Amino acid sequence: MPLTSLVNILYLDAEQRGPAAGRRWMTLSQRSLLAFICVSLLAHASAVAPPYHSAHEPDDGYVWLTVGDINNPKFEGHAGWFEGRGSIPYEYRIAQTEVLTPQHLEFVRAYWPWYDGDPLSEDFLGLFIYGRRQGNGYVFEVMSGWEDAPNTMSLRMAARFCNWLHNGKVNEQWAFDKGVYDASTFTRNPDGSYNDDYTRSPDARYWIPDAGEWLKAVFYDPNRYGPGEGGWWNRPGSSDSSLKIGYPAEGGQTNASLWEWYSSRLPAGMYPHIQTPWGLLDASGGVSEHTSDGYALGSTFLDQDVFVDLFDTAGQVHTFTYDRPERGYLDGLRLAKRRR
Amino acid sequence: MKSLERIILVCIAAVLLSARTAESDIIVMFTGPDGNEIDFNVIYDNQTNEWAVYLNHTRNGFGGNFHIRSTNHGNDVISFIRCNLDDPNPVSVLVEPNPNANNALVKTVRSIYVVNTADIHVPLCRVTNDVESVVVDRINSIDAGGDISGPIEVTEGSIELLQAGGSITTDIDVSSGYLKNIEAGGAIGSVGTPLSITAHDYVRRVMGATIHAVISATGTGVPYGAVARVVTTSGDVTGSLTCERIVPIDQGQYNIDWNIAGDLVADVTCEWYLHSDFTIYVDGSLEGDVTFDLEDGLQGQIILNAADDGGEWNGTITVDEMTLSGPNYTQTSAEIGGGAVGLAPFNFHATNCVPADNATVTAEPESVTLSHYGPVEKYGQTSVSELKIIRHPIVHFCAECDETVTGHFTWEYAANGRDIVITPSQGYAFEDGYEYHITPVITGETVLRCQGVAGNPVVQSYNYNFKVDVP
Repeated sequence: MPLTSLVNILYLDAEQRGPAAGRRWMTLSQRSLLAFICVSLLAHASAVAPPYHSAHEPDDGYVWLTVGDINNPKFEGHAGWFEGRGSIPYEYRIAQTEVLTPQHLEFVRAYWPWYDGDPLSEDFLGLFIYGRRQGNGYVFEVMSGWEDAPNTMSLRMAARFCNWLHNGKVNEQWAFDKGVYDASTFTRNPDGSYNDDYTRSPDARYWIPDAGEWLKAVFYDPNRYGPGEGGWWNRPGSSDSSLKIGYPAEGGQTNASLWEWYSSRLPAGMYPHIQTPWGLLDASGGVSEHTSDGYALGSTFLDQDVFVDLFDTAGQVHTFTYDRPERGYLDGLRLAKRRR
Repeated sequence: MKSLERIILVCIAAVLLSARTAESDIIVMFTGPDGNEIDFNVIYDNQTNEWAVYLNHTRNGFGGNFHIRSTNHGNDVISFIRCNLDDPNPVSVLVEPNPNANNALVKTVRSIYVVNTADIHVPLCRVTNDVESVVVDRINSIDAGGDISGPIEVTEGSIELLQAGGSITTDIDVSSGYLKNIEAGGAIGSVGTPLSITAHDYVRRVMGATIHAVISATGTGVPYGAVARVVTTSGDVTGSLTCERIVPIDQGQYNIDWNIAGDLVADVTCEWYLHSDFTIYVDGSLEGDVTFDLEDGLQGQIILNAADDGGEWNGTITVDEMTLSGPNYTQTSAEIGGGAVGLAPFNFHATNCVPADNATVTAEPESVTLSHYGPVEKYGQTSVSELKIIRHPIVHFCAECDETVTGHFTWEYAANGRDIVITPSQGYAFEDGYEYHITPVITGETVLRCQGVAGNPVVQSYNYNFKVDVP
């Protein structure tokens, strides 16, 4: 059995039993020996295996990862952002990658008859879907070469996307307008302020993670200081060190800032060995990710390289979306889902 | 000045610092490497009720991030942020919401400028009202609820986003990088005093209520010198635009169409070509001169009077020194690069049809191409035809000799949207000895109408004729 597989089994076993269950059937010497073996194996395997990987399952075209360790220690804050957030008193699931452009395309094709803005705008289509007028309607396609990339969408579109998924992808207006978020609040006042309410319904099946959920999924490690000793990393990739920008063949660890406007193709999951403690991919790079708090977090391949480290820092905000919820530019969506 | 407070904070291992004056509404925080000290000043001038921020030193000169915040939403004006730093590593200056004060924003930043050697980057400058001058090394995002009015200049890098809820009234200069997005809720520039928008690599999108600017992408050779999208939401484009190519900035296809809600008054000079994926929609009239220097420079589509509201073709369009004369120009699509210019409602393109209008062919054609100056489509019932095809013998012209043969043919719309390829059905042909007349149906429930034009008006009335006379 490969070493990495053994380590994963040990961890999955620990997750399923819980620390108390394990202690009941081990003597002190056994525990010491097992701890020694685990630490040794982990140290040896850390270069080739994620330090922690929750069980995941395919569902609805997404790979879902479970974020557990309920009531974990809170995030201490950084630059004043999100201090006291990140301690989550429930399990939830989160997508391994951001919503991909073909997944977004399905939504665009379904929703455009009810969209009241410019259906050819980036606000509606994101960066990698294009539309053409045809007859009384439009045809939409993924730009050639970006079929495996995450797309951008506005906060309002992200909310409607969740409603649509929640309602089983029914292509009727009500299915986009309610279920998780009440789109009737998506209005603007004469003074320019917005009335948008991104409070999700209690029975939501899919939703935009809030900042605390996002932070935990990206930076919190239940084994940060050893088995069962949770704590927070400062960078994505289960590390306090900056990720190296570059293509995998160059030893790169993130595609943040790597978007070359004329030639590059940047699919999701380019760096399968760079994961958050829960197994998320592309927490750095890809697109920055909406939260229901009105902030988009994480760096993006659209950034300039000098800004990547700043936006990859735990708790640093990339984009502020509450003041422009109808606008889509750099930000995409990583879905959260109710624990079964 | 009522108060001047110099702040030198000595730090050992802290990651985060903050400081403010006793009556300060401006907070400066620093995140960066551990070290010994940072040095900055916050000065309040009670004559002007404005704040000045001096950034003098980072920890050990290793760079880092200055976070400048307000505690008093929409009330604080920063007269300037002076970056007197000599770090070998970049220093970021963020004017950002205050998470500890309900995301309060600074009201106005009048200037951010550099007086020393460190690379100064502005990941974000977000204010409720105006941003004036920002002259630094790189800018990611300037987001002003009001106007952007001072010079915006980056000396080394690029600009990702300039966004103004109001107007943009200042020159923008990116001498060595790209300019990805400029967007204003109000006007960009003003009539008669166009501002300058210059980038070396490319200009990806310029969008405003109206645009009055001299826009240029100065780089040469692929991939530089490109311009993509120009959009106005309510009015004209004046000034000029100069580039090598009008092309998608993202490889592959892109939402690249120009949408000009008024007239295109600006002169557009493109040394190479308009990409085939592009459509330039001008809701009003063409008043400027559009030039493509390359012999196949017009590969895309230009639609004039796209609002179908009286727009006219008054300017000139020139491709490789060939001027297209008015809405019914005679150059074929192939001669100009594969594209077309259409003044809505579209007419048929007599010389681009195959065979050409009024031509006599000496062999029975396997198909006939009916061409238009802009994209067209059928609208109406599936079982009713949007074209009418009549023929009569060449040698005996008489009204009673006309024979409607529409049902002898089928047709398909070409990918360019302008051409309809008509093919005889099984057992039929474009027969020798006949003159054919093809007309669009423009009344009734089933019609041939314009695509990409407001209201989808029917095409112009026309009569496309050709003879088949085999020797």
